[in-house]
Formats: sequence, C-alpha cells, structure tokens
Amino acid sequence: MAQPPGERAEERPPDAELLARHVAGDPDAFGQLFLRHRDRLWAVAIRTLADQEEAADAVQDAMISAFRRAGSFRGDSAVTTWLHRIVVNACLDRLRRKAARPAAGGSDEAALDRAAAGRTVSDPSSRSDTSLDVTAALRRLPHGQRSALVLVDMLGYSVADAAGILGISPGTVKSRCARGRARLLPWLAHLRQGGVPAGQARNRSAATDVLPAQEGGDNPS
Amino acid sequence: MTRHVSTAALARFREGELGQRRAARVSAHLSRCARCTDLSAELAGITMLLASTQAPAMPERLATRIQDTLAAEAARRVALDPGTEPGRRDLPGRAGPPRRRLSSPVAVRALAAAGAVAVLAGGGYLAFSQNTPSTASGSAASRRAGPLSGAGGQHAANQPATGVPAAGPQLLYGHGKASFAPVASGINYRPATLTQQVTAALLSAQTMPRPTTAPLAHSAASASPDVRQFGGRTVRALPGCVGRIAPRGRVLLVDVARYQGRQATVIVVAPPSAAARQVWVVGPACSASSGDVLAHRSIPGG
Repeated sequence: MAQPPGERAEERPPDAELLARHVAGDPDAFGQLFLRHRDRLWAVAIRTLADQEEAADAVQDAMISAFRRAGSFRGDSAVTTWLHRIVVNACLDRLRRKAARPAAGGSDEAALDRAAAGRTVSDPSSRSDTSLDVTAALRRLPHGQRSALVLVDMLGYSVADAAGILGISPGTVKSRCARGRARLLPWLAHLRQGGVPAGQARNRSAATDVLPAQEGGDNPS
Repeated sequence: MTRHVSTAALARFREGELGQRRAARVSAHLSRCARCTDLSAELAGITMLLASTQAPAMPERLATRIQDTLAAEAARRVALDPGTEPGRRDLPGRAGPPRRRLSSPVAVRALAAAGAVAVLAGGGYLAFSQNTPSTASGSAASRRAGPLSGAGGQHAANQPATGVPAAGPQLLYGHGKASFAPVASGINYRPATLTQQVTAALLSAQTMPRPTTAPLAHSAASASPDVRQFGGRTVRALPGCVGRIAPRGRVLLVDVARYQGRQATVIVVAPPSAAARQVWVVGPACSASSGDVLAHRSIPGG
C-alpha cells in the first residue's frame, strides 16, 4: 500500500522487520524497537515491581536478553507479546528473589491499615494517595494474580493477550484476575469515588464474609 | 432467601468462570439481592480504579541508561563478529547504499521532536468534513479553526492528502451494534498536557458537524477494509481497535492524531457506570486483537 505523502516509510517499519534487521546485524534496529515499546514495557514493570530502580533493572535485563535471543524468536506470537513476556518474566524473577529474602513489607501494611481505617477518605482528591494505596495493595497479592491484574485491569490488555504474555491459558488469566479483584476489594473499596458514595459504602465489610452486612457501620463520618 | 454470594465467587461469576448451574444460581440471587448487586458493582469498581491509576512515566535517565546499554551491546556484537556489520550482508529492507543513521535513539528522538514542531506549527484543527453532508452550515464551517493549536485552520503538513476529512465517516464496531465517527484534529497529544488537550478536543468535537449519513453498512464496511483512509492514514483496524478498547460505554471521541510526535489515536469513553471518562491513547497497531495502548488517563466527566 502506498504511504501517504509525508509519511516516511522507514519511520515505522513493522516490529517483525525491525527484529529481522536486528538479527541480520543492523545495530540500530533493536534500539528502535525498544524506543517504540518502552513506555508499555515500563508500565508493566513498574506496576508489577512498584519500584523504579527494580523496574528499570528488570526492563534492562529483559531487553538485553531479548537482544541476544532475538535469533530464536520464531514469530509464533507478535513481537510485542514476546517482548512483554520477557519483561514480565524478568519482573517475576525479581519478585521471587525478593520473596526469598526477609520481607520488608512494613510500609505496605501500614499504608493499607491507614487506608482501611478510612483516614485517606478525607482527601479523595489526592491522586498520589490513591496510587500509593493501589500500589501497596497490589504488592500484597500473590505474584500470579498481580501480573494478571496489571496486564488486564491496569494496562487494558485483553485476556487473550495477557495469556500470551504470561504463557498461561485465558481461563487461568480470568480466574487469577477474579481472585485478585476479590482480594483487593476490602483493601481498596474506600478509594472508589465514582460508585457508591463514601457515606453509603455499606458493603465494604461484606467483602470478606457471606453474612448480611451491618448497615453503615464502617464509615466514621 | 438464598445465601449471599462470596466476593470470590462473585468475581469468578463476573468473569464467566463459574459452572453453568452455579452461575444460574448466582444470577437468580443477584436479581433479588441488592447487597450482592452492590458487591458486584464494587468489583467492577476495582477494575475501574486499577485502570485509572496512572503508571508513572519512565524517567528519562533510566530510559537513557537502557538505550546506552543496548547501544553498548550492539557495539560489542559488532566487535565480536564483524561479519554481522551492516553493509556486509543483504539486510532485509536495506537494499542500496547504507541509510543515514536516522534510527539511532538520539536521532529518533530528534526526529520525533521535529515532527512535533511541524504538527504544532501547522496543525490547524479541521473540524469540517468533505464527507459532511450539505446540512453542514456556514456557521459550522466558521468553527472549523478550533482552539487547539497555535496556527489557524490551514491544511497542515501532517494532513498531506488534500480533502482528507477531518470528521470521518461513521464506522461500525462491536459486531455492528454501535458506531463512531473519527476525527483528525492534528493535535500532538503530550503526556503532561493530555488531560487538557483531551478536554479541549472533546469540546471541539461536540461543535463539529456530525455526519448525518447512515453508518456504513456492515458488509460495505468490511468489503474493502484496506482502502479506508482517514487522517492521512489507513484506519482499517480502527473499528476493531475501538471495539477492543471500549467494549462497553459510550465512545465520545476517536481522534486520529499524534502522541509525543508519533502516530496515535486518542479514544475517549464514558463507561456505563462511572463518573470518570477513560482516555486511551493507542498506537497504530491497535486492532481487534491487540491494544497497543500507549497511555491511559481517567478524566472527570462533566
């Protein structure tokens, strides 16, 4: 198809072509591929790891790994899926290694306790509080649930794409997302501003039980 | 009264992950239990909350560090195996003399910046369409130069094909159940100003003459998808992309534009049950099967 005038054809070669150029020895092609996808790869890493330096290290490790392994890319998935998979795996490796070390989760616990106590509700306009709470809550999820929710709910990937990236079945992605959301609910219900008004969030305590909720008992005004 | 549904079961129900009989029981229970219905809405709210939490942008120093590492890796590769140096082999897509080194990270950044300048300098907001039927009045035409760019409503360098409609045809998506009409604002959206730019674009889109033609028939729309041109680009994947990004909710804006100087489409959706509008910036690869999401914001509705 003809490029519209003014569009430089070499500005956006397909990912697969860039990767092929890289494998053939083009020293710039891989850097271009990274530039093109870095924001999304970064979003996955920072959301999964919740730490800038860790996330940057994970992305860097992943890119070097992809750089070296590009020759073995078979093209049975999209290049972006492949790149994402390598980044996600690098992140999960880091999480596993961190989990093997003594946990330093005190700040998360404190943030969640504060949030659950309703103290941040007084300042619903504070985005950073919301972001911190969400980050802290995500960190408490099992890794599998966390990475599924990061991809599907936070970054908007389809279940099928997330399954491809995570190397698991779509059904597993769905059930991990479902379990993750159910776990997050009691921790994050106080942050939802668009839905149930804070004063009527009568079901917050219902998240963890199956008994009738006590009306309005959980929201000090 | 049947027993309430646990959060976990409700979450699985919402994902269609319960068995048929159990799903039917949950469904029946939900139809008469306000408490569990609320709980279900709260679960939906978790998804919206996660979607509206912005990931911090990659700090430039970290991006540079990785780019430098990759450049070093490339240099090392050449040093280890001079046979792979470009020019010594037939590289795909690289026939002829060696290209200028436009694709080094620095050069690409400079190029992107240059593109952004061109867009800003020439990017008049063309809220008028050749496809727009004759009902488009003079007053509508007088609004064509919108408030979104520095220069007036000249035909911009980034809208090369003359007569490219700025308000596109109605396109069907979501199995033909809904339609949207893309616009091409010529805006170069930027992360720092995305919210303001989207708000302005929404305002302009509201004053834009709407095509009153019936949506393209589904068969016609899919008959020759490759030829669909809009905003100087092929947009054959746009309906699939919109269907993927906005499976539910009302599509408020589909702007075939730029983001940080690169081709991108901005999609604004009013979700069915949320006050906040969801802004998705997607790259050219966005289609029914891939999101290619470059950025996401949640902006207050109103």
